[in-house]
Amino acid sequence: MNYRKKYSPFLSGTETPAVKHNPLQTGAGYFDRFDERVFQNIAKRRRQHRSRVMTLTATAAAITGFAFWFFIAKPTESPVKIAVLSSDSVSHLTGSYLTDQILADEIIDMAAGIDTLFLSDGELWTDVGLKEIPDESIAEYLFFEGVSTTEIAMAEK
Amino acid sequence: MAENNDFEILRLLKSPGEGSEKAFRLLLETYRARVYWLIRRTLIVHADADDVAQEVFVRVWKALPSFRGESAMFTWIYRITVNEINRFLKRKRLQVFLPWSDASDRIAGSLADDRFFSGNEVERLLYKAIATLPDKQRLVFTMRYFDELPYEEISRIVGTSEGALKASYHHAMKKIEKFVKQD
Repeated sequence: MNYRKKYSPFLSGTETPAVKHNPLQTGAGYFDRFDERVFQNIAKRRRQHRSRVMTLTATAAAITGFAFWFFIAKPTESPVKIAVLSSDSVSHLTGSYLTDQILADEIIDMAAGIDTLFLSDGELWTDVGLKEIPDESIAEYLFFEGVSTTEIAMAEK
Repeated sequence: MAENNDFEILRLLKSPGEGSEKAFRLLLETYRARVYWLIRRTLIVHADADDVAQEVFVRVWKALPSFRGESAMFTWIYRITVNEINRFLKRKRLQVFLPWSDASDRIAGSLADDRFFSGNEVERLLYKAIATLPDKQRLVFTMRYFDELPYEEISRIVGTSEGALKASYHHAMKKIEKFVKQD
């Protein structure tokens, strides 16, 4: 059975099937615009691809940066605590901590050149340099600063 | 003409500079209509065919640098086209959550008021019948009946044995015959 002739009478008598009537149509000039639309779609895909790559790169960089900070560069908790010399807090301080703090204060004062408490008369810190401060001088200093002997004793434990 | 152009496309592809764009432009000029009509006859609706045809050539553009000329360019492009048609049909069916028969009926129904269809009643009946065929049979029927491709060529495109293709075509014809008699 010749299917084409039976069910497609519009083809009967057609010697070359290539010239079959085509009832399907496109809009006018469809194929003229076709190529440019393909190029537009390619450009659109490229932009989308580039934007996707940039987003992924930025995300990867952010994750890497965070991971670096978290696992490698994150600052460890500082062991140094600010020493506050008061009757409430002094009991938490060790003797050496207290001494360190006093020394720090002294160095600051020394730099300012105004505190001559531990110096002989007419002597300046700049004259003596960083000499070791005797314990009795520290005790004396604390007494002047209003820290009680009880607190000093507790701090030394 | 297409074969001569294939040689030229391959030659341009191998040449440096803007060769690949020139090759692609020549490829578009040579194959756009054939590809479009294969899609259109399979999907019937112009808007769908246009979407798929555009997608086919975007994919061809992407894949063109890797084309080695191991198969004929026509076969290679048709293979991409067939894959794209299948992808489209699957996507469409998932979108509308309809069984194939309903989706086909919708396509067939849309022919009634399709401004891009200028055929007479017999032609309308034929295309309605084609729309009711399962995907593979529809593709095989389109390639064999409209494009008049030899089974050997269709086999290379769809990756199915010639025997299976002949069976598909036979089933398609029987279904169309039944549809036409019923209507």
